[in-house]
Amino acid sequence: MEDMKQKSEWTDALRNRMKGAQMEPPAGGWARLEKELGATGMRRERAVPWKRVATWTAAVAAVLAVVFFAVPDKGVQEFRSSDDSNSKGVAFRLSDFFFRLQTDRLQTSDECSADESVAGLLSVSLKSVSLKSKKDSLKSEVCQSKKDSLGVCKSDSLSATPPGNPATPASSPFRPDHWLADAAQSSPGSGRGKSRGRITLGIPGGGTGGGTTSVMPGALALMNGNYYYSSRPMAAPPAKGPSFASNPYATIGNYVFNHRPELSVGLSISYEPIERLVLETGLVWTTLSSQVITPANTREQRVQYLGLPLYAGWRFAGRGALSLTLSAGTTVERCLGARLGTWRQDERPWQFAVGGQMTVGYGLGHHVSLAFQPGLSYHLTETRLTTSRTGHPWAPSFRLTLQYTL
Amino acid sequence: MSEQTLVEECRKGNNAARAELYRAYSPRLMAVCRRYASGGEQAEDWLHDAFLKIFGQLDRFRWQGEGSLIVWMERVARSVAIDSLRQRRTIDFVRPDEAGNELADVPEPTEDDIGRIDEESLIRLIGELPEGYRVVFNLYCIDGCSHNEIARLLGIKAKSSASQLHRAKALLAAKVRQWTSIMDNG
Repeated sequence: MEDMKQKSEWTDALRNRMKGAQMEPPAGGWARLEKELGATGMRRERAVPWKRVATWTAAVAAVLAVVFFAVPDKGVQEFRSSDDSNSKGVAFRLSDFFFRLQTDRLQTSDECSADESVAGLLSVSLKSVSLKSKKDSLKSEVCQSKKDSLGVCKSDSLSATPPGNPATPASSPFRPDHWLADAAQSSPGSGRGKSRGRITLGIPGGGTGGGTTSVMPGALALMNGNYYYSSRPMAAPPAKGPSFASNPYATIGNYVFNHRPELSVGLSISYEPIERLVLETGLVWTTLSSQVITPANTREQRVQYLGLPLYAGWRFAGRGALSLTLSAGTTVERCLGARLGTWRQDERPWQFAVGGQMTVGYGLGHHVSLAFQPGLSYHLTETRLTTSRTGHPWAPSFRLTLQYTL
Repeated sequence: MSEQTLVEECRKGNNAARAELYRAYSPRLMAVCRRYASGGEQAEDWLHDAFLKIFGQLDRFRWQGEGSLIVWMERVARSVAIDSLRQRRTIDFVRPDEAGNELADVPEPTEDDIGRIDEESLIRLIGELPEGYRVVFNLYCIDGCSHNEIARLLGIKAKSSASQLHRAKALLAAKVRQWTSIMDNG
Protein backbone atom coordinates (compact mmCIF):
# COMPACT_ATOMS: atom_id res chain seq x y z
CA MET A 1 0.00 0.00 0.00
CA GLU A 2 2.75 2.35 0.91
CA ASP A 3 4.47 1.56 -2.37
CA MET A 4 1.32 2.35 -4.28
CA LYS A 5 0.91 5.67 -2.49
CA GLN A 6 4.43 6.76 -3.32
CA LYS A 7 4.16 6.17 -7.03
CA SER A 8 2.61 8.89 -9.12
CA GLU A 9 2.09 9.69 -12.76
CA TRP A 10 4.93 12.12 -13.02
CA THR A 11 7.44 9.71 -11.49
CA ASP A 12 6.23 7.01 -13.89
CA ALA A 13 6.77 9.42 -16.75
CA LEU A 14 10.19 10.23 -15.37
CA ARG A 15 11.08 6.54 -15.20
CA ASN A 16 10.02 6.02 -18.81
CA ARG A 17 12.21 8.92 -19.86
CA MET A 18 15.14 7.55 -17.91
CA LYS A 19 14.83 4.03 -19.31
CA GLY A 20 16.65 4.76 -22.50
CA ALA A 21 18.47 7.86 -21.33
CA GLN A 22 21.96 8.45 -22.61
CA MET A 23 24.74 10.82 -21.70
CA GLU A 24 28.03 11.55 -23.34
CA PRO A 25 30.76 9.40 -21.81
CA PRO A 26 34.02 11.10 -20.90
CA ALA A 27 36.49 11.76 -23.67
CA GLY A 28 39.34 9.29 -23.52
CA GLY A 29 37.30 6.94 -21.38
CA TRP A 30 38.07 3.90 -23.48
CA ALA A 31 41.78 4.75 -23.73
CA ARG A 32 42.00 4.87 -19.93
CA LEU A 33 40.11 1.65 -19.65
CA GLU A 34 42.21 -0.07 -22.30
CA LYS A 35 45.37 0.93 -20.49
CA GLU A 36 44.08 -0.59 -17.29
CA LEU A 37 42.85 -3.74 -18.93
CA GLY A 38 46.34 -4.34 -20.22
CA ALA A 39 47.71 -5.48 -23.50
CA THR A 40 46.82 -9.11 -22.88
CA GLY A 41 43.22 -8.24 -22.38
CA MET A 42 43.18 -9.52 -18.82
CA ARG A 43 41.36 -7.43 -16.30
CA ARG A 44 44.10 -6.17 -14.08
CA GLU A 45 41.93 -5.27 -11.12
CA ARG A 46 40.44 -8.71 -10.89
CA ALA A 47 43.76 -10.50 -10.85
CA VAL A 48 45.41 -11.01 -7.49
CA PRO A 49 48.15 -8.40 -7.12
CA TRP A 50 50.83 -10.99 -6.46
CA LYS A 51 53.57 -8.41 -6.26
CA ARG A 52 51.87 -6.64 -3.37
CA VAL A 53 50.90 -9.87 -1.68
CA ALA A 54 54.48 -11.12 -2.02
CA THR A 55 55.82 -7.85 -0.63
CA TRP A 56 53.52 -8.05 2.37
CA THR A 57 54.28 -11.69 2.96
CA ALA A 58 58.00 -11.03 2.80
CA ALA A 59 57.69 -8.09 5.18
CA VAL A 60 55.72 -10.13 7.71
CA ALA A 61 58.13 -13.06 7.36
CA ALA A 62 61.06 -10.73 7.94
CA VAL A 63 59.47 -9.30 11.08
CA LEU A 64 58.73 -12.80 12.34
CA ALA A 65 62.26 -13.95 11.60
CA VAL A 66 63.75 -10.99 13.43
CA VAL A 67 61.49 -11.46 16.41
CA PHE A 68 61.99 -15.21 16.50
CA PHE A 69 65.72 -15.42 15.97
CA ALA A 70 67.18 -12.09 16.91
CA VAL A 71 65.46 -11.51 20.23
CA PRO A 72 67.74 -12.98 22.89
CA ASP A 73 66.20 -15.96 24.59
CA LYS A 74 67.79 -17.28 27.70
CA GLY A 75 66.15 -20.62 27.01
CA VAL A 76 68.35 -21.30 24.03
CA GLN A 77 70.58 -24.25 24.62
CA GLU A 78 72.84 -26.13 22.35
CA PHE A 79 73.67 -29.78 22.42
CA ARG A 80 76.25 -31.58 20.45
CA SER A 81 76.48 -35.27 20.22
CA SER A 82 79.77 -36.50 21.47
CA ASP A 83 79.28 -39.95 22.82
CA ASP A 84 78.23 -41.69 19.65
CA SER A 85 80.88 -42.09 17.00
CA ASN A 86 78.31 -42.77 14.30
CA SER A 87 76.38 -39.64 14.98
CA LYS A 88 77.83 -36.35 13.95
CA GLY A 89 74.84 -34.21 14.28
CA VAL A 90 74.17 -30.92 15.86
CA ALA A 91 71.10 -30.32 17.90
CA PHE A 92 69.95 -27.24 19.63
CA ARG A 93 66.93 -26.01 21.42
CA LEU A 94 65.43 -22.66 20.67
CA SER A 95 62.64 -21.60 22.92
CA ASP A 96 60.19 -24.51 23.03
CA PHE A 97 61.37 -26.11 19.85
CA PHE A 98 63.99 -28.64 19.20
CA PHE A 99 66.07 -28.39 16.06
CA ARG A 100 68.31 -31.16 14.88
CA LEU A 101 70.78 -30.79 12.06
CA GLN A 102 72.42 -33.99 10.88
CA THR A 103 75.22 -33.70 8.43
CA ASP A 104 76.49 -37.24 8.64
CA ARG A 105 75.27 -40.78 8.85
CA LEU A 106 73.48 -41.82 11.96
CA GLN A 107 73.80 -45.34 13.22
CA THR A 108 71.31 -47.56 11.45
CA SER A 109 69.84 -50.44 13.31
CA ASP A 110 67.07 -52.87 12.50
CA GLU A 111 65.73 -52.44 15.96
CA CYS A 112 65.45 -48.73 15.70
CA SER A 113 62.71 -46.81 14.01
CA ALA A 114 63.04 -45.38 10.56
CA ASP A 115 63.10 -42.00 12.13
CA GLU A 116 66.53 -42.75 13.50
CA SER A 117 67.83 -44.06 10.21
CA VAL A 118 68.31 -40.83 8.40
CA ALA A 119 71.36 -41.51 6.33
CA GLY A 120 73.46 -39.13 4.37
CA LEU A 121 70.93 -36.41 4.48
CA LEU A 122 70.68 -33.03 6.00
CA SER A 123 67.54 -33.04 8.02
CA VAL A 124 65.96 -30.44 10.22
CA SER A 125 63.31 -31.52 12.64
CA LEU A 126 61.11 -29.14 14.52
CA LYS A 127 59.63 -30.68 17.62
CA SER A 128 58.56 -29.74 21.06
CA VAL A 129 61.34 -30.29 23.53
CA SER A 130 59.17 -32.21 25.92
CA LEU A 131 57.86 -34.45 23.20
CA LYS A 132 61.32 -34.99 21.83
CA SER A 133 62.92 -35.80 25.12
CA LYS A 134 60.13 -38.25 25.93
CA LYS A 135 60.59 -39.89 22.57
CA ASP A 136 64.32 -40.09 23.04
CA SER A 137 63.78 -41.73 26.39
CA LEU A 138 61.58 -44.43 24.90
CA LYS A 139 64.07 -45.02 22.17
CA SER A 140 66.88 -45.36 24.61
CA GLU A 141 64.95 -48.14 26.27
CA VAL A 142 64.20 -49.95 23.01
CA CYS A 143 67.57 -49.49 21.44
CA GLN A 144 69.64 -50.73 24.31
CA SER A 145 72.81 -50.78 22.31
CA LYS A 146 72.50 -47.21 21.39
CA LYS A 147 72.94 -44.19 23.50
CA ASP A 148 71.00 -41.05 23.02
CA SER A 149 72.86 -39.66 20.08
CA LEU A 150 71.91 -36.12 20.85
CA GLY A 151 72.80 -36.16 24.50
CA VAL A 152 69.78 -34.20 25.52
CA CYS A 153 69.37 -36.05 28.77
CA LYS A 154 72.90 -35.54 29.83
CA SER A 155 72.67 -31.87 29.28
CA ASP A 156 69.65 -31.59 31.47
CA SER A 157 70.41 -30.60 34.99
CA LEU A 158 67.60 -32.77 36.34
CA SER A 159 68.97 -36.26 36.54
CA ALA A 160 67.80 -37.41 39.92
CA THR A 161 65.26 -40.16 40.49
CA PRO A 162 61.80 -38.75 40.79
CA PRO A 163 60.17 -38.95 44.18
CA GLY A 164 57.84 -41.87 44.63
CA ASN A 165 58.32 -43.19 41.17
CA PRO A 166 59.95 -46.59 41.46
CA ALA A 167 58.66 -47.66 38.07
CA THR A 168 61.14 -45.45 36.32
CA PRO A 169 63.75 -47.67 34.71
CA ALA A 170 67.15 -47.27 36.21
CA SER A 171 68.69 -47.02 32.80
CA SER A 172 66.46 -44.17 31.84
CA PRO A 173 67.65 -40.88 33.16
CA PHE A 174 65.04 -38.91 34.96
CA ARG A 175 63.73 -35.85 33.34
CA PRO A 176 61.13 -33.46 34.55
CA ASP A 177 58.60 -34.49 31.96
CA HIS A 178 58.64 -38.08 33.30
CA TRP A 179 57.76 -36.91 36.71
CA LEU A 180 55.20 -34.49 35.41
CA ALA A 181 53.68 -37.04 33.08
CA ASP A 182 53.30 -39.34 36.03
CA ALA A 183 51.51 -36.61 37.86
CA ALA A 184 49.26 -35.99 34.91
CA GLN A 185 48.34 -39.64 34.55
CA SER A 186 46.95 -39.75 38.01
CA SER A 187 44.83 -36.66 37.52
CA PRO A 188 41.49 -36.39 35.81
CA GLY A 189 41.12 -34.28 32.68
CA SER A 190 44.75 -34.43 31.81
CA GLY A 191 44.69 -35.99 28.38
CA ARG A 192 46.81 -33.45 26.68
CA GLY A 193 49.43 -33.30 29.36
CA LYS A 194 49.81 -37.03 29.24
CA SER A 195 50.54 -37.11 25.58
CA ARG A 196 52.99 -34.27 25.80
CA GLY A 197 54.73 -35.60 28.87
CA ARG A 198 53.88 -32.45 30.73
CA ILE A 199 51.48 -31.76 33.49
CA THR A 200 48.17 -30.38 32.43
CA LEU A 201 45.46 -30.68 34.94
CA GLY A 202 41.96 -29.46 34.54
CA ILE A 203 38.34 -30.25 35.04
CA PRO A 204 36.31 -28.09 32.69
CA GLY A 205 33.22 -26.31 33.89
CA GLY A 206 32.16 -24.78 37.12
CA GLY A 207 34.29 -21.71 36.76
CA THR A 208 33.34 -18.15 37.33
CA GLY A 209 32.55 -15.68 34.63
CA GLY A 210 32.22 -18.30 31.92
CA GLY A 211 35.71 -19.66 32.47
CA THR A 212 36.89 -23.11 33.49
CA THR A 213 38.03 -24.61 36.73
CA SER A 214 41.00 -26.85 37.31
CA VAL A 215 41.42 -28.75 40.54
CA MET A 216 44.98 -29.61 41.30
CA PRO A 217 45.74 -32.00 44.10
CA GLY A 218 49.32 -32.16 45.12
CA ALA A 219 52.24 -29.92 45.55
CA LEU A 220 53.91 -27.08 43.78
CA ALA A 221 57.57 -27.60 43.15
CA LEU A 222 60.39 -25.59 41.74
CA MET A 223 62.50 -27.25 39.12
CA ASN A 224 65.13 -25.62 37.05
CA GLY A 225 63.71 -22.24 37.85
CA ASN A 226 60.20 -23.24 36.77
CA TYR A 227 57.28 -24.24 38.91
CA TYR A 228 55.50 -27.52 38.41
CA TYR A 229 52.78 -29.38 40.18
CA SER A 230 52.84 -32.95 41.33
CA SER A 231 49.76 -35.06 41.92
CA ARG A 232 51.41 -36.73 44.86
CA PRO A 233 52.78 -35.05 47.92
CA MET A 234 56.51 -35.07 48.17
CA ALA A 235 57.86 -36.00 51.57
CA ALA A 236 61.14 -34.36 50.89
CA PRO A 237 62.77 -32.86 47.87
CA PRO A 238 65.29 -35.10 46.18
CA ALA A 239 68.92 -34.32 46.69
CA LYS A 240 69.24 -33.19 43.14
CA GLY A 241 66.37 -31.99 41.08
CA PRO A 242 62.92 -30.95 42.22
CA SER A 243 62.78 -28.85 45.29
CA PHE A 244 60.16 -26.82 47.02
CA ALA A 245 60.26 -23.16 46.41
CA SER A 246 60.11 -20.77 49.26
CA ASN A 247 56.79 -19.39 48.20
CA PRO A 248 53.45 -19.39 49.99
CA TYR A 249 51.87 -21.77 47.50
CA ALA A 250 54.34 -24.59 47.79
CA THR A 251 52.19 -26.46 50.21
CA ILE A 252 50.53 -29.81 50.03
CA GLY A 253 46.86 -29.53 49.27
CA ASN A 254 44.36 -28.82 46.55
CA TYR A 255 44.66 -25.89 44.21
CA VAL A 256 41.58 -24.66 42.45
CA PHE A 257 41.96 -22.56 39.34
CA ASN A 258 39.02 -20.50 38.17
CA HIS A 259 39.94 -19.45 34.68
CA ARG A 260 38.35 -16.43 33.12
CA PRO A 261 37.70 -16.09 29.39
CA GLU A 262 40.66 -15.03 27.31
CA LEU A 263 40.42 -11.35 26.45
CA SER A 264 42.44 -9.50 23.85
CA VAL A 265 42.69 -6.00 22.51
CA GLY A 266 44.74 -4.90 19.57
CA LEU A 267 45.46 -2.93 16.49
CA SER A 268 45.25 -4.53 13.10
CA ILE A 269 45.76 -3.80 9.46
CA SER A 270 43.59 -5.49 6.89
CA TYR A 271 43.91 -5.61 3.16
CA GLU A 272 41.64 -6.88 0.41
CA PRO A 273 43.81 -8.04 -2.51
CA ILE A 274 40.68 -9.16 -4.29
CA GLU A 275 37.08 -8.42 -3.53
CA ARG A 276 35.98 -9.96 -0.21
CA LEU A 277 39.28 -11.73 0.45
CA VAL A 278 40.64 -10.14 3.62
CA LEU A 279 44.22 -10.49 4.85
CA GLU A 280 44.81 -9.30 8.36
CA THR A 281 47.72 -8.81 10.69
CA GLY A 282 48.56 -6.59 13.62
CA LEU A 283 49.46 -6.62 17.27
CA VAL A 284 47.26 -8.11 19.95
CA TRP A 285 47.64 -7.89 23.69
CA THR A 286 46.13 -10.84 25.53
CA THR A 287 45.53 -11.47 29.20
CA LEU A 288 44.93 -14.90 30.69
CA SER A 289 43.45 -14.38 34.08
CA SER A 290 42.77 -17.03 36.71
CA GLN A 291 41.73 -17.04 40.32
CA VAL A 292 43.92 -19.48 42.25
CA ILE A 293 42.40 -20.84 45.43
CA THR A 294 44.69 -22.64 47.83
CA PRO A 295 43.77 -23.96 51.24
CA ALA A 296 45.43 -20.89 52.68
CA ASN A 297 44.27 -18.06 50.49
CA THR A 298 43.14 -16.85 47.09
CA ARG A 299 45.35 -15.13 44.59
CA GLU A 300 45.04 -13.78 41.08
CA GLN A 301 47.18 -15.20 38.33
CA ARG A 302 47.75 -13.10 35.23
CA VAL A 303 49.71 -14.06 32.16
CA GLN A 304 50.12 -11.48 29.42
CA TYR A 305 51.07 -11.94 25.80
CA LEU A 306 51.77 -9.73 22.83
CA GLY A 307 50.69 -11.55 19.72
CA LEU A 308 51.11 -11.22 15.99
CA PRO A 309 48.12 -12.72 14.19
CA LEU A 310 48.17 -13.62 10.51
CA TYR A 311 44.69 -14.31 9.25
CA ALA A 312 43.02 -14.71 5.89
CA GLY A 313 39.29 -14.51 5.61
CA TRP A 314 36.23 -14.02 3.50
CA ARG A 315 33.97 -11.04 4.00
CA PHE A 316 30.68 -12.76 3.40
CA ALA A 317 28.17 -10.17 4.49
CA GLY A 318 27.81 -6.49 5.05
CA ARG A 319 25.11 -4.01 5.75
CA GLY A 320 25.78 -0.33 6.09
CA ALA A 321 28.76 0.15 8.32
CA LEU A 322 28.60 -3.45 9.55
CA SER A 323 30.53 -6.27 7.96
CA LEU A 324 30.98 -9.94 8.78
CA THR A 325 34.14 -11.85 7.97
CA LEU A 326 35.05 -15.46 8.62
CA SER A 327 38.77 -16.03 8.80
CA ALA A 328 41.40 -18.51 9.81
CA GLY A 329 45.07 -18.23 10.49
CA THR A 330 47.83 -18.40 12.99
CA THR A 331 49.03 -16.34 15.92
CA VAL A 332 52.49 -16.11 17.38
CA GLU A 333 52.59 -14.75 20.92
CA ARG A 334 55.41 -13.53 23.07
CA CYS A 335 54.88 -13.75 26.82
CA LEU A 336 55.26 -10.34 28.39
CA GLY A 337 55.00 -11.51 31.95
CA ALA A 338 53.23 -13.75 34.40
CA ARG A 339 52.33 -13.11 38.00
CA LEU A 340 50.59 -15.01 40.73
CA GLY A 341 49.56 -12.31 43.13
CA THR A 342 52.73 -10.29 43.51
CA TRP A 343 54.88 -13.30 42.83
CA ARG A 344 56.56 -13.33 39.44
CA GLN A 345 56.32 -16.58 37.50
CA ASP A 346 58.21 -18.11 34.67
CA GLU A 347 56.34 -18.90 31.51
CA ARG A 348 57.38 -20.10 28.10
CA PRO A 349 58.37 -17.11 25.98
CA TRP A 350 56.55 -18.16 22.83
CA GLN A 351 53.11 -19.50 22.15
CA PHE A 352 51.84 -20.67 18.80
CA ALA A 353 48.23 -21.13 17.89
CA VAL A 354 46.03 -21.72 14.87
CA GLY A 355 42.38 -20.96 14.79
CA GLY A 356 39.37 -19.37 13.28
CA GLN A 357 37.40 -16.30 14.08
CA MET A 358 34.38 -14.31 13.10
CA THR A 359 34.95 -10.60 12.69
CA VAL A 360 32.08 -8.26 13.26
CA GLY A 361 33.33 -4.95 11.95
CA TYR A 362 31.76 -1.57 12.40
CA GLY A 363 33.05 1.18 10.18
CA LEU A 364 34.07 4.32 12.01
CA GLY A 365 35.36 6.04 8.91
CA HIS A 366 36.58 5.44 5.43
CA HIS A 367 39.50 3.27 6.52
CA VAL A 368 39.03 2.70 10.24
CA SER A 369 36.70 0.23 11.84
CA LEU A 370 36.14 -1.35 15.19
CA ALA A 371 36.18 -5.14 15.08
CA PHE A 372 34.85 -7.58 17.61
CA GLN A 373 36.42 -10.95 16.95
CA PRO A 374 35.15 -13.96 18.84
CA GLY A 375 37.14 -17.01 17.88
CA LEU A 376 38.40 -20.43 18.69
CA SER A 377 42.11 -21.17 18.80
CA TYR A 378 44.05 -24.37 19.00
CA HIS A 379 47.19 -23.74 21.02
CA LEU A 380 50.10 -25.72 19.69
CA THR A 381 52.39 -24.75 22.53
CA GLU A 382 51.34 -25.64 26.00
CA THR A 383 51.54 -23.11 28.73
CA ARG A 384 53.97 -23.94 31.49
CA LEU A 385 51.66 -22.45 34.05
CA THR A 386 48.13 -23.61 34.61
CA THR A 387 45.99 -21.26 32.54
CA SER A 388 42.70 -21.42 30.69
CA ARG A 389 44.65 -22.92 27.78
CA THR A 390 46.16 -25.71 29.84
CA GLY A 391 44.54 -29.03 29.21
CA HIS A 392 42.13 -27.41 26.78
CA PRO A 393 44.02 -26.70 23.58
CA TRP A 394 40.84 -25.46 21.97
CA ALA A 395 40.25 -22.20 23.75
CA PRO A 396 37.64 -19.55 22.95
CA SER A 397 38.86 -16.00 22.74
CA PHE A 398 37.30 -12.58 22.51
CA ARG A 399 39.24 -9.89 20.76
CA LEU A 400 38.48 -6.22 20.30
CA THR A 401 40.51 -4.61 17.55
CA LEU A 402 40.85 -1.21 16.01
CA GLN A 403 41.27 -2.05 12.37
CA TYR A 404 42.80 -0.02 9.59
CA THR A 405 41.85 -1.10 6.10
CA LEU A 406 44.40 -0.40 3.39
CA MET B 1 28.32 -7.87 -34.49
CA SER B 2 25.43 -9.28 -32.46
CA GLU B 3 25.28 -8.90 -28.69
CA GLN B 4 26.03 -12.56 -28.20
CA THR B 5 29.06 -12.49 -30.47
CA LEU B 6 30.23 -9.30 -28.83
CA VAL B 7 30.04 -10.93 -25.41
CA GLU B 8 31.88 -14.02 -26.60
CA GLU B 9 34.67 -11.95 -28.11
CA CYS B 10 34.93 -9.84 -24.96
CA ARG B 11 35.19 -13.01 -22.89
CA LYS B 12 38.11 -14.10 -25.06
CA GLY B 13 39.84 -10.83 -24.24
CA ASN B 14 39.43 -9.28 -27.66
CA ASN B 15 40.10 -5.60 -27.11
CA ALA B 16 38.42 -4.56 -30.36
CA ALA B 17 35.22 -6.19 -29.15
CA ARG B 18 35.58 -4.53 -25.81
CA ALA B 19 36.03 -1.16 -27.46
CA GLU B 20 32.86 -1.77 -29.44
CA LEU B 21 30.97 -2.76 -26.33
CA TYR B 22 32.18 0.38 -24.63
CA ARG B 23 31.17 2.60 -27.53
CA ALA B 24 27.76 0.98 -27.78
CA TYR B 25 26.79 1.01 -24.16
CA SER B 26 28.80 3.64 -22.34
CA PRO B 27 26.24 6.45 -23.01
CA ARG B 28 23.50 4.36 -21.34
CA LEU B 29 25.70 3.47 -18.39
CA MET B 30 26.91 7.05 -18.09
CA ALA B 31 23.29 8.12 -17.65
CA VAL B 32 22.83 5.55 -14.89
CA CYS B 33 25.99 6.63 -13.11
CA ARG B 34 25.15 10.29 -13.50
CA ARG B 35 21.74 9.73 -11.88
CA TYR B 36 23.39 8.38 -8.76
CA ALA B 37 26.36 10.72 -8.69
CA SER B 38 26.54 14.19 -7.28
CA GLY B 39 28.87 15.33 -10.04
CA GLY B 40 30.20 14.44 -13.45
CA GLU B 41 33.62 13.42 -12.17
CA GLN B 42 32.19 10.90 -9.75
CA ALA B 43 30.00 9.48 -12.51
CA GLU B 44 32.99 9.12 -14.82
CA ASP B 45 34.90 7.19 -12.17
CA TRP B 46 31.94 4.89 -11.62
CA LEU B 47 31.56 4.35 -15.35
CA HIS B 48 35.20 3.33 -15.53
CA ASP B 49 34.85 0.97 -12.56
CA ALA B 50 31.63 -0.42 -13.95
CA PHE B 51 33.27 -1.37 -17.24
CA LEU B 52 36.19 -2.94 -15.41
CA LYS B 53 33.73 -5.00 -13.43
CA ILE B 54 31.70 -5.85 -16.53
CA PHE B 55 34.74 -7.12 -18.41
CA GLY B 56 35.86 -9.02 -15.35
CA GLN B 57 32.51 -10.63 -14.70
CA LEU B 58 31.33 -11.35 -18.21
CA ASP B 59 31.63 -15.05 -17.47
CA ARG B 60 28.77 -14.67 -15.03
CA PHE B 61 26.49 -13.10 -17.60
CA ARG B 62 23.86 -15.42 -19.02
CA TRP B 63 22.28 -14.51 -22.30
CA GLN B 64 18.51 -14.29 -21.96
CA GLY B 65 17.56 -12.67 -25.20
CA GLU B 66 18.07 -9.33 -26.90
CA GLY B 67 18.35 -6.51 -24.38
CA SER B 68 19.44 -8.73 -21.51
CA LEU B 69 23.02 -7.49 -21.83
CA ILE B 70 22.21 -3.84 -21.22
CA VAL B 71 19.93 -4.76 -18.30
CA TRP B 72 22.78 -6.71 -16.72
CA MET B 73 25.29 -3.96 -17.45
CA GLU B 74 23.04 -1.31 -15.93
CA ARG B 75 22.67 -3.49 -12.84
CA VAL B 76 26.45 -3.74 -12.56
CA ALA B 77 26.83 0.02 -12.94
CA ARG B 78 24.20 0.60 -10.28
CA SER B 79 25.90 -1.78 -7.87
CA VAL B 80 29.23 -0.04 -8.46
CA ALA B 81 27.61 3.27 -7.57
CA ILE B 82 25.84 1.91 -4.48
CA ASP B 83 28.94 0.04 -3.31
CA SER B 84 31.02 3.16 -3.69
CA LEU B 85 28.55 5.19 -1.68
CA ARG B 86 28.33 2.47 0.97
CA GLN B 87 32.10 2.12 1.20
CA ARG B 88 32.28 5.78 2.09
CA ARG B 89 29.76 4.91 4.81
CA THR B 90 28.57 8.45 4.68
CA ILE B 91 25.44 8.44 2.59
CA ASP B 92 24.05 11.69 3.80
CA PHE B 93 20.46 11.00 4.73
CA VAL B 94 18.61 14.15 5.60
CA ARG B 95 16.71 13.60 8.82
CA PRO B 96 13.02 14.56 8.76
CA ASP B 97 13.53 17.10 11.51
CA GLU B 98 16.32 18.75 9.50
CA ALA B 99 14.24 19.15 6.38
CA GLY B 100 11.96 22.12 6.13
CA ASN B 101 8.22 21.85 5.55
CA GLU B 102 8.18 24.50 2.88
CA LEU B 103 7.99 21.80 0.18
CA ALA B 104 4.85 20.24 1.54
CA ASP B 105 2.55 22.38 -0.57
CA VAL B 106 4.44 22.24 -3.86
CA PRO B 107 2.09 20.94 -6.56
CA GLU B 108 3.28 17.83 -8.36
CA PRO B 109 4.49 18.24 -11.93
CA THR B 110 2.46 16.76 -14.73
CA GLU B 111 3.52 14.21 -17.29
CA ASP B 112 3.69 17.07 -19.78
CA ASP B 113 6.11 18.92 -17.56
CA ILE B 114 8.39 15.88 -17.56
CA GLY B 115 8.04 15.53 -21.33
CA ARG B 116 9.17 19.10 -21.90
CA ILE B 117 12.50 18.66 -20.18
CA ASP B 118 15.33 16.95 -22.03
CA GLU B 119 16.86 13.78 -20.57
CA GLU B 120 20.18 15.31 -19.67
CA SER B 121 18.52 18.12 -17.75
CA LEU B 122 16.30 15.66 -15.92
CA ILE B 123 19.34 13.66 -14.92
CA ARG B 124 21.05 16.80 -13.70
CA LEU B 125 17.98 17.75 -11.67
CA ILE B 126 18.02 14.35 -10.01
CA GLY B 127 21.73 14.74 -9.43
CA GLU B 128 21.10 17.98 -7.56
CA LEU B 129 19.13 16.17 -4.86
CA PRO B 130 20.89 15.54 -1.54
CA GLU B 131 22.70 12.22 -1.59
CA GLY B 132 20.27 10.24 0.54
CA TYR B 133 17.25 11.56 -1.36
CA ARG B 134 18.93 10.95 -4.69
CA VAL B 135 19.86 7.35 -4.01
CA VAL B 136 16.48 6.40 -2.62
CA PHE B 137 14.62 8.21 -5.40
CA ASN B 138 16.67 6.48 -8.08
CA LEU B 139 16.30 3.07 -6.52
CA TYR B 140 12.59 3.36 -5.92
CA CYS B 141 11.16 5.48 -8.73
CA ILE B 142 13.47 4.61 -11.59
CA ASP B 143 15.05 1.25 -10.84
CA GLY B 144 11.90 -0.18 -9.26
CA CYS B 145 13.24 -1.38 -5.93
CA SER B 146 10.90 -1.75 -2.98
CA HIS B 147 11.53 0.03 0.31
CA ASN B 148 12.55 -3.27 1.87
CA GLU B 149 15.10 -3.85 -0.86
CA ILE B 150 16.41 -0.31 -0.47
CA ALA B 151 16.62 -0.80 3.27
CA ARG B 152 18.70 -3.95 2.76
CA LEU B 153 20.91 -2.28 0.16
CA LEU B 154 21.64 0.83 2.15
CA GLY B 155 21.47 -0.56 5.67
CA ILE B 156 18.61 1.69 6.72
CA LYS B 157 15.07 1.07 7.89
CA ALA B 158 12.28 0.73 5.34
CA LYS B 159 10.43 3.57 7.03
CA SER B 160 13.45 5.76 6.68
CA SER B 161 13.58 4.92 2.99
CA ALA B 162 9.94 5.90 2.58
CA SER B 163 10.53 9.14 4.40
CA GLN B 164 13.55 9.98 2.25
CA LEU B 165 11.56 9.21 -0.88
CA HIS B 166 8.68 11.40 0.17
CA ARG B 167 10.98 14.37 0.64
CA ALA B 168 13.00 13.56 -2.46
CA LYS B 169 9.84 13.65 -4.55
CA ALA B 170 8.75 16.93 -3.06
CA LEU B 171 12.14 18.50 -3.67
CA LEU B 172 12.42 17.18 -7.21
CA ALA B 173 8.87 18.27 -7.98
CA ALA B 174 9.80 21.79 -6.89
CA LYS B 175 12.89 21.73 -9.09
CA VAL B 176 10.91 20.48 -12.10
CA ARG B 177 8.27 23.14 -11.58
CA GLN B 178 10.92 25.78 -11.30
CA TRP B 179 12.58 24.55 -14.47
CA THR B 180 9.34 24.57 -16.43
CA SER B 181 8.41 28.01 -15.18
CA ILE B 182 11.77 29.32 -16.38
CA MET B 183 11.11 27.70 -19.75
CA ASP B 184 7.62 29.26 -19.84
CA ASN B 185 8.99 32.68 -19.05
CA GLY B 186 11.48 32.41 -21.85
